Amino acid sequence: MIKTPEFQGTHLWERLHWAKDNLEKVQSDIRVVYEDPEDMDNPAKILVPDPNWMACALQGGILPPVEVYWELAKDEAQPGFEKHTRGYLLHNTKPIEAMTEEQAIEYLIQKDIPQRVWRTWDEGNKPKMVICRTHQLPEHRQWRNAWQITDDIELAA
Amino acid sequence: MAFGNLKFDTLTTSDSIVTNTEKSINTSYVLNGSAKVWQRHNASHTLASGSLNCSSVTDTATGIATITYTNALSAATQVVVAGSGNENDNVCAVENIAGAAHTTTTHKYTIGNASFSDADRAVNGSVVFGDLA
Repeated sequence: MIKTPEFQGTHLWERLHWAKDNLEKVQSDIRVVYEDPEDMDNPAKILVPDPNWMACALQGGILPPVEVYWELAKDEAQPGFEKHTRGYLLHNTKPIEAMTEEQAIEYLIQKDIPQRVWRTWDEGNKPKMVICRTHQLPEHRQWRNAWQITDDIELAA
Repeated sequence: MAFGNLKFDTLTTSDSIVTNTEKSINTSYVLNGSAKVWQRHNASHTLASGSLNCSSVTDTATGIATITYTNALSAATQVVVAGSGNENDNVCAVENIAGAAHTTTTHKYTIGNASFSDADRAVNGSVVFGDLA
């Protein structure tokens, strides 16, 4: 496996270009199905990881800790927000080590799915979020806008 | 043979073929004017391996995709260019959902058929221009 350069302090954008040039893409078949309690009129959503991003996650030393994204999201949620002033957190924070595919999906959930979904995913009458494989999704999209997480879903231990 | 880094701030051409008048451009213009995110996905929202600065695509509903970035933009004022098509039917419309749907780390767009109804298409892609955080 190619060794990741020491990237702390290097702009994340440059790291992504290095990864694109040097890493094999990883097409994951894991999907995350979720329902947003603030958007219950719409069907379940399905998160699909990007192959270049997954390669970065498995390689290690490239992506910032997920908490960095939370900090930037906090800034953006402030009234009157116009522009990030703490973008350096993306570039200067020590990058995270290599993850397994499962760990990468957990990271991606915390980065790309609203916190109101994953922080309370198992509260309520049914799970708000389910991690599955592509073959567990419906084979055709004819009724896509009616997709929901079933009430009697069996969760793995 | 290993290659090193070439560092420079200005690109200059003699433009000898056309005007023969020297022209220069600061390389910052090249960086700032390049696409910061691009991605392409199919009807079931599986991403093609060719992409840049994209961490995921969310299949939000029929014909609606939400793209999330790895390197955030500095402001949610990005310009998104999107396109879509089928192998046998290239008639389609793409609408960028602006306003609240855009953040510094996401954009969302809707793909429609010739009747402007939301529809899933075989090939869909988008490109983002803006400033990085």
